[in-house]
Amino acid sequence: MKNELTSAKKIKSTHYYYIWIVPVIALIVGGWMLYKYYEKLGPLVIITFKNSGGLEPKQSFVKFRDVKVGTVEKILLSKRDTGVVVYVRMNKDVDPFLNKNARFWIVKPEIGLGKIRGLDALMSGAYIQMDSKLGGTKKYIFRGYEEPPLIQNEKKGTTYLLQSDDSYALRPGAPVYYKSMQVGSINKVDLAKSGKSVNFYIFVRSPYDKLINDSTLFWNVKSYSLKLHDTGFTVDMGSLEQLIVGGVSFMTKELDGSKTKKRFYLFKDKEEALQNRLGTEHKELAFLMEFAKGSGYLQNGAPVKFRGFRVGKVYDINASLVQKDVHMRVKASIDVNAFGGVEQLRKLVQKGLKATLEPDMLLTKNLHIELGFDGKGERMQKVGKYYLFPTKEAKPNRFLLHIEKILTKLENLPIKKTLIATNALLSDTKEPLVQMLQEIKSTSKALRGLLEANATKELPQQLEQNLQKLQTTLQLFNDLAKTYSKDSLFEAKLSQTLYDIDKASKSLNRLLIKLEQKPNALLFGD
Amino acid sequence: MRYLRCPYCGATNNRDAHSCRRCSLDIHLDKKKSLHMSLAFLIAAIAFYIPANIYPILQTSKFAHTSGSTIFEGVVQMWISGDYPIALIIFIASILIPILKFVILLYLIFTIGTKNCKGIKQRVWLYHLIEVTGPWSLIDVFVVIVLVALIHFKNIVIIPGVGVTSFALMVVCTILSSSMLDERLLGAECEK
Repeated sequence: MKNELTSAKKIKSTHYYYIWIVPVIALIVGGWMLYKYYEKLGPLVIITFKNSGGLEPKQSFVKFRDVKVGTVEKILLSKRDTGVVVYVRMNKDVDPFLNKNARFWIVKPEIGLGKIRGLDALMSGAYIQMDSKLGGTKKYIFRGYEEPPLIQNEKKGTTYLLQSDDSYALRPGAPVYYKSMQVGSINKVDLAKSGKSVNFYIFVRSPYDKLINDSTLFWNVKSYSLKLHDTGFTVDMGSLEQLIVGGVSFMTKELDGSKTKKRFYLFKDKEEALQNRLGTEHKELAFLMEFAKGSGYLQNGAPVKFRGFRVGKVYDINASLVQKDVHMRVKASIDVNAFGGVEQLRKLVQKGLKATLEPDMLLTKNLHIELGFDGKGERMQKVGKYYLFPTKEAKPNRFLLHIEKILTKLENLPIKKTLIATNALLSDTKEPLVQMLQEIKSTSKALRGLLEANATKELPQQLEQNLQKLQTTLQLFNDLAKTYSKDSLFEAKLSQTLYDIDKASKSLNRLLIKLEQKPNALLFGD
Repeated sequence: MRYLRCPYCGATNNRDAHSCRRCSLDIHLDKKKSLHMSLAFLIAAIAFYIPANIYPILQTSKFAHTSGSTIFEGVVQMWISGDYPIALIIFIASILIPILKFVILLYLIFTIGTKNCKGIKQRVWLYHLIEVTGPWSLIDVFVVIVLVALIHFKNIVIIPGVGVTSFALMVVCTILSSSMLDERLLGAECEK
């Protein structure tokens, strides 16, 4: 045993240096990971929001082009104002986008009537959406938006302004259709500063924005419409989406028109948008019309028409009793472009254009304002904000008068009288007839006596004379009978009556044809 | 006479012996090799410890959203949510013990290298402490393995993060480092 121990050789071992490869590898791996970590670690961005909107530190993220580009590090209450300060650690690759174009807003799941927004946020929790484009000065402190900003740098398209008298209950997010295809959406709806109209900011995606030019008409998509035809009803119903959210639709008359307009009028519905219109551009100005003999049948919102074209509408009526008449001050907005501008309209007024109150339709008493040329022209004055429009008293409605005339005629037809007259005529002619018959009787008696008197042989000439007399009498009788059938007073009266009835029925027929073609003409006018 | 204890069978051998006289295993006391090996693994462990702490140890994929947390964040979250015992265990096993091991091993290697002969008893005790507690650091790795294996919901997926791999490598390196350090060296050159 001892020998073994002493015989052992001492080996100088240096082969263990290989072990240093382990820490070297570890350092390389660790260092590379560390490098990667700090490489990914981008700038810290500070965004202020009104409220945190359900953001969670360490969990909520920032999305840009649907890519996660940052994580919320912490959320602090703002010391300066009412709000929260969100610290976001951005990835390094979005650093070039952190400039003055960058915008941030919180996306929350929103489930409203007819819209579900940010469904992905429902799964992942609220997150911050970022929008930016390259260029611009660097920035690391931002003020967050409460709502998605109007123009998003990433989306291509054009924003247009639509103006309307009513919001039609349209809300941001509602779609914009072209031939029932969704090509954009409403970004923002708000009241114009004047408070008179509603502004819609719509965004139409590229390439559909090419379809919009100066000849484009926009209208509110009605979810349903009911139409009366001569064949029955037609119910038009849009898609369920249209039914719930509505939307805006547009149509372009000439696809290669010039593109100068960014501002359009939003019509109430398609019918109104497509109806005959004077002029192309809509530019309404306020006019004041004073009617000495007003009528309560003029409603607010009643149309102002010029030769059948709707050129404006009444929006304010002030009425006061002056002695026996109602004095009315009517404010109406008139599309001056229909006449080729204000100056042109002024000239037309000087040529005699005047406003009258005229009934709308046949059976209702509702009135509208009709513009027409009558009499001497006047100078259009400006009273305050309003142009004073000359007026004239309304003539009674010709059409209605005509109908009335026909009806009175029908009512006054002398049928009874005619019958009485016929009776009287018959009773008048009774006596001569009887007389004539008696005469014939006596004549024949005399004739018989003559024959019996045996003196007939000598009186053939007399007989002949008598026969001749009889003949003339019969002729007379015949003539009389003839006169009854022709050119008599009775006949004339009867034929007049028939003629009148014929005329009346023709008029009625016309009316019926009209009604058949347009059944609502009675209610809505032509 | 100087003797050398066989670390495997405990037989006493000659100081210069290369193999044990009883079990014939290699018992040669190579100070340089031991220190080099131990230090190399220790440095490797420290190198792995850094990514283990900055990368998420566990990634929870809930629906479309993935969230991960590092060891320290996990401990803080558990502490905040009131799981004090577990937070404490994880803290001790995953943060305290590795750091303690780094410090103790560095200290032991340094003292052996400088032939410091003070407090041999305490150093032996420290050595045994790290030998015993070392594998406990793997509790973190174990927790992750269990979670990944057990939780299989439709919408929740747990993915082991880069951190846990680094952490496991770190623990293995520290265990290797401490086992490479020959405890006989602690007092080898202090005999009088």
